[in-house]
Amino acid sequence: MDYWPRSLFPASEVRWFLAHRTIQGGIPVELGPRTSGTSGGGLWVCEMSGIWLRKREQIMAARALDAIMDGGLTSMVVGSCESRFARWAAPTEPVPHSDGSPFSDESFYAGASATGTVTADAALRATTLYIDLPEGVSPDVYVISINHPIKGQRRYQIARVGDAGEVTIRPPLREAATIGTEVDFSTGACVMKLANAVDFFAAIQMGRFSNLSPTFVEAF
Amino acid sequence: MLPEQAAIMSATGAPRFSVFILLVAASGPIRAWLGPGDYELPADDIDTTGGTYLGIGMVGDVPALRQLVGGVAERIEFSLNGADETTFALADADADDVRNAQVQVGVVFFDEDWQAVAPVAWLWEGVADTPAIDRSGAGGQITRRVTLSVGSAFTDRTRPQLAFYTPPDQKRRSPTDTFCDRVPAYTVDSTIQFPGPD
Repeated sequence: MDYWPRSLFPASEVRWFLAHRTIQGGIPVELGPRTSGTSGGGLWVCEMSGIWLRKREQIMAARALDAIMDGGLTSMVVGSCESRFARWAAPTEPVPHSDGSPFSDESFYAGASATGTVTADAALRATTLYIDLPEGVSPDVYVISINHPIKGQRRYQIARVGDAGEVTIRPPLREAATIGTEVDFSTGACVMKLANAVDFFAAIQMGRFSNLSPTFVEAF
Repeated sequence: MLPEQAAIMSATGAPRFSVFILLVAASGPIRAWLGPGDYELPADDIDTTGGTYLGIGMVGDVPALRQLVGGVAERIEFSLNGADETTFALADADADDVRNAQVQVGVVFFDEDWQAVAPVAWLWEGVADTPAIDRSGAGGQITRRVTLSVGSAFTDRTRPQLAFYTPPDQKRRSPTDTFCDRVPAYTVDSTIQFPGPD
């Protein structure tokens, strides 16, 4: 499956959120308004804007991506740079020195182990996970992603941290996870589809400049 | 509704729930629920084998359901906007597969962690008609929609419907029965004479 090329298309504004559907059933006299949620835990939506296309290769890649995505029919893995928040996690792309050069052995900077592992089996739609973090890393409310065997990359937000590696996640697990399943803290990746295929690619101005503002929704 | 689910509903105010639909087509059951992703339901009295309910996301809508109490047997329509190719194939090529299939609509209540707090409560049963497909919209945004008309168990074109408990209706079904003869006297429009006629 293709990946959305985040480094080629840096977005100035990125908004990830879980879309819910709620129903409000009037205002009873004694209780105040009541809201009910019927969305089963929500669906990931990613809105990007301010992706300025200034280079030849950006325009060409954007055109190719537009063709690949087939008006929103083709799924794609969309991620976010979570190593900015989980600083110990390895960056998703090689990091050179400030002048762009690598070390003398051609290697780049790397963080600690980017992945944790699931330490107890979790059923489909579970919201409690037990995760083993790399040594020395403190538990926190990170964004994680799991590459499921059938559903592919799925993104989860740790909402609450408990004891002994217990975390509460949203949305519920898209597929059961077994002991030893790797948990990625760097990419926040999720299989998604383009929702605004008609207008995500702005007109090319003066034959050179354009911008992208794609909105992705989680795909199944 | 089942007492267990009714108790949960009144205790929690039902802040989290979702709707499940089971369509028993000729070629096998079709299971769907109004949420994202898969959902496993165990076997019960209605869905005797249990199985994976396919999430049809948040685009589906279920109309208000009513139980038949002294009214006309209702026919409702389930609509699915922006359905995918699989759904259209089912609605188009396999229409005969769906016609006359039994449709069950149930609800599951969730706790704060989106875990089911009770088994599914099957609330409504109907019989499916042939699904219909239509397209609407203009320009680049065209919405395709699959509609499935489902009649409740009391819907039957070959049988006169007993709509009201009036003497003519009752006489049409059982000519000699006088059970409903005094019903008109109970309406707000009736005038009760006092003292009564001799």
